[in-house]
Amino acid sequence: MSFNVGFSRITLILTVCGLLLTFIGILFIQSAMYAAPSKYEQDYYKRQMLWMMISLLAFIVAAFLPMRVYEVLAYVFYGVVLLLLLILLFKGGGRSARWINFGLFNFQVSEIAKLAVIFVLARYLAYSRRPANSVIKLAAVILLVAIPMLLVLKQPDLGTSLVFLAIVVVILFWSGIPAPYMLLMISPAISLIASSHWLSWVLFLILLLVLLRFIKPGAVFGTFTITVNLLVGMIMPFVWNRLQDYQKNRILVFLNPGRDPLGAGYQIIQSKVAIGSGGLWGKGYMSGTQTNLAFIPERHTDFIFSVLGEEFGFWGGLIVLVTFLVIILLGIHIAYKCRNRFMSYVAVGAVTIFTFQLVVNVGMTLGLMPVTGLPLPFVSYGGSSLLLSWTLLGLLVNAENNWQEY
Amino acid sequence: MEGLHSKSLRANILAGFFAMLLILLIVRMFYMQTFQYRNYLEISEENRIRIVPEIAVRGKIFDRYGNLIVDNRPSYVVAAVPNEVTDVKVASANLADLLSVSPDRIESKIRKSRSRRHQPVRLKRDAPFETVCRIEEASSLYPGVVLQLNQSRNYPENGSAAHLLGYLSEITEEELDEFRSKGFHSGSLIGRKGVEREYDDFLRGIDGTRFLEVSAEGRIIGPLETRDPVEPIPGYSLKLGLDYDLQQFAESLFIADTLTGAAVALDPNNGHVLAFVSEPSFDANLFTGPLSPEDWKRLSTDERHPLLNRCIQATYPPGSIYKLIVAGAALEANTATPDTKFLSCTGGYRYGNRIFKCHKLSGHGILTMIDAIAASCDVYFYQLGKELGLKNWAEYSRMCGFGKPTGIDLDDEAAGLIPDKEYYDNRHGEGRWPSSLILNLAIGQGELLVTPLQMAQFYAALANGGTIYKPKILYSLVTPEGEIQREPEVAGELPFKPSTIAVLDSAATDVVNGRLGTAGRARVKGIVVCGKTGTAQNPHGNEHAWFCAYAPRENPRIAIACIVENAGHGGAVAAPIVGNMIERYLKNIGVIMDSIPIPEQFMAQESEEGETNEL
Repeated sequence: MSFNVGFSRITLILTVCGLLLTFIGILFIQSAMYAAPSKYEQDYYKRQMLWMMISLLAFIVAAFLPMRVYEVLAYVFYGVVLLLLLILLFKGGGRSARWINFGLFNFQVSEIAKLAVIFVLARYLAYSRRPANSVIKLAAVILLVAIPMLLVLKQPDLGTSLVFLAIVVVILFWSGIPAPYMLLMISPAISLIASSHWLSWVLFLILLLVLLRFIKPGAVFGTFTITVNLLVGMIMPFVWNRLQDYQKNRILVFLNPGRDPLGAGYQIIQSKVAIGSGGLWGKGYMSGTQTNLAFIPERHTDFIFSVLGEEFGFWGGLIVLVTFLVIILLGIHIAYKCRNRFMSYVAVGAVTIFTFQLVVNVGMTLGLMPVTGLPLPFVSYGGSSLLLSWTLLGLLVNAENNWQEY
Repeated sequence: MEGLHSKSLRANILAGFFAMLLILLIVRMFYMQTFQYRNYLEISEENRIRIVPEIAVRGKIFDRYGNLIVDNRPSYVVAAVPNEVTDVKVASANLADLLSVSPDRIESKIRKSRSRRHQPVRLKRDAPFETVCRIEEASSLYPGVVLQLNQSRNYPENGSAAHLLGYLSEITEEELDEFRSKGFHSGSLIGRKGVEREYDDFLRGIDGTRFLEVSAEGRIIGPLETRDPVEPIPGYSLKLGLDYDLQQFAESLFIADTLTGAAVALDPNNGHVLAFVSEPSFDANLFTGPLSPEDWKRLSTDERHPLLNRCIQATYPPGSIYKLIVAGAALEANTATPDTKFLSCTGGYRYGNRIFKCHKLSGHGILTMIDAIAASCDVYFYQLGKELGLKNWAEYSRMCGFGKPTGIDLDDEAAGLIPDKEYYDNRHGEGRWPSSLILNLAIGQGELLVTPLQMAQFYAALANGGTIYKPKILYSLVTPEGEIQREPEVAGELPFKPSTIAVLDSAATDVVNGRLGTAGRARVKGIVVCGKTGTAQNPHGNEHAWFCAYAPRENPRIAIACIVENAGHGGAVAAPIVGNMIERYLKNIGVIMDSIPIPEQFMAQESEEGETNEL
């Protein structure tokens, strides 16, 4: 293995992008909270700066640690995370259940779990000798994700469990899994949503049949796919009834924010008003009336993009989104050229987390997505989230620096 | 099976898909910040501005001499901000005792708050000072509970003139929808009864507006710099025609003997209401805060019906006080002259196979019209009425103002009832009713119903020589530009010639002052009082005592109708009340001197005595 002492251009760009986003984050955490009632809240941005220092350390470690270390430790790490999730499960319910106390700082276990899932999938797929269309391989991958996903779902943290789902789908896609398998994987999820209304479900089933005819997966596989979809569609109402009230409410309110303008729909409406009233150029730094006046409760964490959209307008939002686009496209480029299969999977996993959380978070502030409580990577306030973002970026840099190695 | 074998194809698909998602976000953001920009900007402006009404000071109410009757006093409203109430159940239980409102009521008020969650919900208006102190002291015990300074109406505590003044209460949601254009808002007080209702538009004033910048938690950051507050315009004060001293004096006469009834006094020269007594009364202050269920139950189930405004809402048979109308009608219809004499009164009058009794069972003998009025001989009037006929009786009654509301500036006035042929045809079938009905109507009995105010209006018209004035509560509006006086309004003329009025006047004089008169107890030293007693039969109990009068005879200044329910003979109970009221009023306006003025040298001595008494 060779240490690249001089950074490549891609490494430089990625680092600058990460720093830019983190600085924008600190800037707007300060703007969001400067009018907050307590000194503690006003100082959030200072705490975020401290976290940035720690995160930069993690970034350097992640970038320079030999990739073999990750490979070797992948299963151990995965086991430890499962243990932590189990501890949390028995510790008790409620939102506080997502946190575990590591002395000075509380750490959100689900953030590490995302990392563990990426490593374990990468490790398994990189070394599996089974053919791409192996059902056993597929089942193993699904099992590896399903265990932490169910544990996180039980917390209950719907947002993070959806991140796991996105990771597994994209990584499987990256492994070159045949199209019918992809269809089998994705179509039940669409069935789930489509079955909320009989008409949309029927239309989707017709579309599915057309697709199957086009792909020609074989009689057994085709029948299986259709059966799974039918089952999901029929089970959906039962699952819906099992959902927590606040989760149901969030989904219903997402579909119609006016349903509860003062409750769950309140944040979405206020966020849209904040961004929309920002216009092209914004109201100016620290001049956002919506966000400064605390119309959005979680304005420094999940709704930080609303503050930015209000105060810096369209151009400000565009800078953030384009910066992310750069990271994402470079990440995919790294994954593509990386010769080491393990690191290639890790890079794709990192890109998936960035993209998924970005789309869900910003989509939420724009009223396109339900409120799921996923932070915006690099930008949202929160040590765990920032640490994970920079670690993932470090892994991308690691893969970039060692792309030639097998 | 076609797989995605090429790594570069997979990379391109993934990059394309992810980029597409981001572009979707950018497009959406652009759309919101350009095409929908105006719309969102408007909402965001509204969001941060709280429009707080500044309640205009309500006009005061004075009597005709400028004595204060109703004013405002500062008061506290206990309210709760739903968003800040941590536990509604606990808070309701804690507050229930303190506010003496049931916990369920508090809970439902907080939960059902239609307005925004950080808008305070009023729990109790006009909270006692002690309650306010306890909340202030232990504010941590009551999270989300706030105190708002407000104004409350201060009505006479003993319920004086309550029916005339009325009261206020909070506007309902339905009314708000209807009246929002008149400047009402949630929580506004609106006049419910009496003067408060009738002149609400003048009294209320115009509420001002303060524009405050607020945070989402409802925390007020400060006044909005870009918009100046709109100052409230205080309401006009009212000067009533009422003589508040006379009012209280008359009420005391009723209260002293726990009498139930009404007395209306009018100025015969313009129709101003000088006194408006309906007893028993109620304390209008009870209605200012939310009326407690116990108070409401007590008021609404009281057998003496304190909420009933007897002056204008209760209708009674008038009895003999109506004889003046019948006599006047007979003179005008030329069915009798002042000298007409009928069959001798022997204590009864035979009509068909029935005997109609006179109140004096020993009989009055043969009488002229004036004597018959003075002695209130029923037999004379049976015969007078028979000659007059139902048609004439009803026509003249209507022309004298009966059977329809007087049009006083108060709500819910009853019309009374003047029965006629049509009425009886409807009730009994055409022609299936005895012609003897007119005999009862002629002595003011039967189906005939009047309000005390209608009687006062008639006697006032008789006193001034025949002009029927519309009774008026309001004397003038007190505005910053000066007083705007209310012009007297003529409702019509009595259908009586001056000669007829002169006959009725001398008969009324004899009732009080004559040898045969029934109302000697209404006499007032130094002046001549004219009037008529009445004793109205009441199928539900004892007879009602009536007395109507005006005085002084030469230059009448006051006309009064007084009824005391279930009190027996008018001359015994009602006449002294009226006599005392007349005396009081004429002293108030200086027509009668109280006593010889005390020469100045004695004054010092007087005050010294007063001081020693105090010690």
